[in-house]
Amino acid sequence: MAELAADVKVDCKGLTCPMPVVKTKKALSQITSGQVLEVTATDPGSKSDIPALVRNMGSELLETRDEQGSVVFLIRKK
Amino acid sequence: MSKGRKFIGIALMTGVFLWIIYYIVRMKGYASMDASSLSDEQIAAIKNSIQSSVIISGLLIGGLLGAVVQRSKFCIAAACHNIVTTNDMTQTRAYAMALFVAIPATQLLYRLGSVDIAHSIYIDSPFTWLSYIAGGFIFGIGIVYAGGCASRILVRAGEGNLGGLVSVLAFIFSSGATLWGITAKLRVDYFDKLTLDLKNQYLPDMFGGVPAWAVILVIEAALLAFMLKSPKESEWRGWRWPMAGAAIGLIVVVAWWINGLAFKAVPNVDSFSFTGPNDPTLLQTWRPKSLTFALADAQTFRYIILWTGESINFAIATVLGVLAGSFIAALISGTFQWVAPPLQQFKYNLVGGLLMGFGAVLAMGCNIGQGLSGISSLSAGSVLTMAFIFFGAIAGAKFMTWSIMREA
Repeated sequence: MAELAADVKVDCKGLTCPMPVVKTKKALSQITSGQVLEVTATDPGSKSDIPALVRNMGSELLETRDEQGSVVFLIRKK
Repeated sequence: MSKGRKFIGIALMTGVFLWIIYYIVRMKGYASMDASSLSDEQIAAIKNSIQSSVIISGLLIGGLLGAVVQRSKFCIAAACHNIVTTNDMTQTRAYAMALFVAIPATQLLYRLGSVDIAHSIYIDSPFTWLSYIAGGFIFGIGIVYAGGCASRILVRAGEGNLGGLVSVLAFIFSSGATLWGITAKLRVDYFDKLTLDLKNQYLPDMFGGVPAWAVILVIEAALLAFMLKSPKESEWRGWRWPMAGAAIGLIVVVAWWINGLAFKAVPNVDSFSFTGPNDPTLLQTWRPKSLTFALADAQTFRYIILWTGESINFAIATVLGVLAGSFIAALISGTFQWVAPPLQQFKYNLVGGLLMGFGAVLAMGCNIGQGLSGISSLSAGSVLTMAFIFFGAIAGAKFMTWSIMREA
């Protein structure tokens, strides 16, 4: 699969729950519909919390991948 | 995670659990024995064995808790604030499941005479309502900023997160001050002065005439209804929530069990010093208890830095166990990782830990002590405290969201 280009990137490395969720929420509220947001997090809780947030905000989680100890999420705002 | 690592993890947890059961069986023997025909040496040996059984079970129970929390991702802090942050109730269901298991099992042990919860601090204490409300609320705000409850921050430190370590140190500092030091005066002179005159704090006794089993049945039905209500597809990437909750509930029950039996066993071998279950010296050291972290972190620190004249107890053993258990679980699962948080997170960890320490001692318990151990004993104060931990966490999460949204 070709790498999706993110319009906005949010670095949540080293942040603990619920900070990554709040930062993602903020970024999602600032981008426009159809744009792609990339979130990088290290908190183990984020693996469940970010997908739950994305679903409950009605956006779409395009991809989740592990990258050198971090998790990277690609989210498209609906 | 590879199959081999998973197998090692499951085998270790099962082994530790069986080891705890072994101590419970041994303690059961001491609790029902007649020591009148034993020699002084035999009695001294049994006394030592009771002491060491409690301490070793504390290490094992703490270790199991640390490993389960690390692997399952169970988190009562998230159970409280997710309603604001992610709007996902899976963690809250896991917490309900823990109570669903712990309440009837603890009450059964009480009815069977194994665990005298009526002599625990949750039931046998003045109803210091202002301390419960204020302490719970402040603690609730703290867990959002520290990013976890009193046990979760220990686990986080154990898996290599330096922010978690900062929270633990801040927690030790402020809980110690509120227990023995500068803020203790504030607690004793103002907050703890306001009490409600209750015979005891046992909830079923407050519905005059209604049998305890009926109260328990209603609570269980409510928990079940909550768990079954709209179980949306979950995004939780830990253990499945019923499994995580049940495991935590079971750990609370075995912790009650070993301590309850020890409380019965001690007077058997020391009828000379102890007059009965109401004996103040007996209550001071052997009062039936389960998991609690409010006082334990500071006690552990004091034990380590003073050593002379200090003695290890069950709570200290569980703290050391949680650190070791989460560290080992993180190593085996390959999730141990040194993490240095960004500055803003460090500040939050510090402030959160300070608030948590003050709140937890004021409320006489954290979300484990009051929220699991206390509620499973059906203490009115525990339910009140937990309700305000919940409100505090919601207020904290709302405030954090608001302040981050305002940042440029």
